[in-house]
Amino acid sequence: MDCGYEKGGIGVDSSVLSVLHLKKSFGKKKVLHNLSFDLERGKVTALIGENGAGKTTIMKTVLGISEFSGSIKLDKQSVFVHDHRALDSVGALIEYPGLYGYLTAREQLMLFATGNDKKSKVDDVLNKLHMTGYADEKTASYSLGMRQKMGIALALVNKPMLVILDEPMNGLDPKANKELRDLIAEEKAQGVSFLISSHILTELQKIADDVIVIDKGNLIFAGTMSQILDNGKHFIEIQTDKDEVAQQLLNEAGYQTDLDQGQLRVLVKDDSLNHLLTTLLDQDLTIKRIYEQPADLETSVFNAIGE
Amino acid sequence: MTRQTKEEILLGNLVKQEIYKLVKRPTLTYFWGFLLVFQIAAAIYVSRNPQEVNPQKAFLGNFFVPVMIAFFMISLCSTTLSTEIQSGTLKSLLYRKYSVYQVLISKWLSLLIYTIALYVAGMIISLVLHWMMFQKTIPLSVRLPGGHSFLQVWALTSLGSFLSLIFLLTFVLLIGTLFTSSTAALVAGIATYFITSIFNQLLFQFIIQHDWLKWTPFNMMNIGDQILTPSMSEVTRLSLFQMTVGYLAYAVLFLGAGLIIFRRRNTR
Repeated sequence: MDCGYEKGGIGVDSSVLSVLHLKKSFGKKKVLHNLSFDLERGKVTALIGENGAGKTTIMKTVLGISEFSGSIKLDKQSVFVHDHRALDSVGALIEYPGLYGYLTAREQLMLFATGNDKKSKVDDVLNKLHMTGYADEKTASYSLGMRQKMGIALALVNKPMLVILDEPMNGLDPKANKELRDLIAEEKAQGVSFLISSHILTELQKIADDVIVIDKGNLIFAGTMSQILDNGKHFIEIQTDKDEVAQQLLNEAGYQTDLDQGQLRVLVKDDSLNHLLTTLLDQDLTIKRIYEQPADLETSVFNAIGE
Repeated sequence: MTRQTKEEILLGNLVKQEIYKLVKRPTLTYFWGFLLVFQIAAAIYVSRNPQEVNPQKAFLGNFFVPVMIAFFMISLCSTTLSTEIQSGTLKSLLYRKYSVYQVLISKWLSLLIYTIALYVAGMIISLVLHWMMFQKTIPLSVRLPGGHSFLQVWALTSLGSFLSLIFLLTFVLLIGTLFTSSTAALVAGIATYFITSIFNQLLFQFIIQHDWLKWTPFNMMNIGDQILTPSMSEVTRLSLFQMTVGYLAYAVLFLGAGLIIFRRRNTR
């Protein structure tokens, strides 16, 4: 198992969040098992896992709204359930955005904004999220996508150092998704760090620098996006004159294959194709075409958790 | 800046936010209008039917408006957390730089300020209505049998009913931390009002038989009456000092239990 903290060490200066030996139980049921990882400053980190893996629980513990054992430090300041001062420069959206339906977006953002420059902070975030057109409407009338944007705006309004977003793409249409990606890239360029969980792995693959994979409360992988994507595993698509025979030969040779709608996909675990090609050519099969298809994040995550 | 000062500023910010939310809630705005209309209607009825409702008693009771405020504040206090839970807003209040205790205490303080505002408004309207309709029938400067002027008795009566309401609300706030459903919280809050009212009427008879009952929270609710009428101590069987200590002790107990329950429920 690759743990990201090995890259720089726990609590190094570049860490915006440092989690050490994080454990959490609900009664006798253990839901987080001794997790340790760091989030690097100015990076987007994807938190990935199946439903119930412990993603939201991790986020809640980092935000001090769930009891835990272990240590969580935000910018070297410890987080406790009874002391949230470390959260001064953290913005978050957990599970779904809670909005006061009788307030407008602007009123609600003003309510949550801090400091002396509230108005400029609110105007800024409304502009960034392209919400000015409906900022003065009561949020009770908002669609799911508008509500989601509002939740993200609330997370960003105080110009936080770390932004924690739980399923931020929920309910967003493709245009809004792209706007969110662009916004995250802009904020990242200004040094803001993100911890994002989502089931839409294709979106995460586009924006995340680092990846943390959780399975049943265990840390399965913590490293860079390129590490999890490469990881020595990629797919080859092959067209032969006898695909079914080719699949049988490759399976017998120990390859993992998939034949679907005339396309034979083979999982290759190293860079050399010699053995694969020899296996087929020795049986006088004709190879018509061959493509290299890098593994996507979804496949890589499944590989990481051994499914 | 000391840590304590910073904490006070944080709490002050939270209280301002809570008051802003209360002020912007439409139902609460309507209630102010309803309160005004109700009080005016009650005063007109009393002025036209003095044989049915004693105008002096009606004025002392601020034209029945404390009952309306009590019902309203019980419903507001019992549901203040459950409505935030149901709309999903409570979570976003908790994962900011404010502690779980600061979040809850700020809500309570804002509700206290709101209750004071309603009471003060009710009293001012009563004085205006007195000036408009009852100047001749209720002379405020007249001394009553206890030695107080009518105006003083009116002020002390209002203070007494306010203190009783605040005491009841501390228990309702505790109940409010137990429910996630607004309906259940509201029913429990209103039931508390009726149970307390009924039991309080029977209390003095029971105290004669069981002396320990004088230490129950129900008896502490009579503190307002005892401030106005010191001879009440003969039936409450407690001195004003004992009652004050009991009042504060129970209030702290209810609110302390509320804080513990709130933290446990929201940081699991």
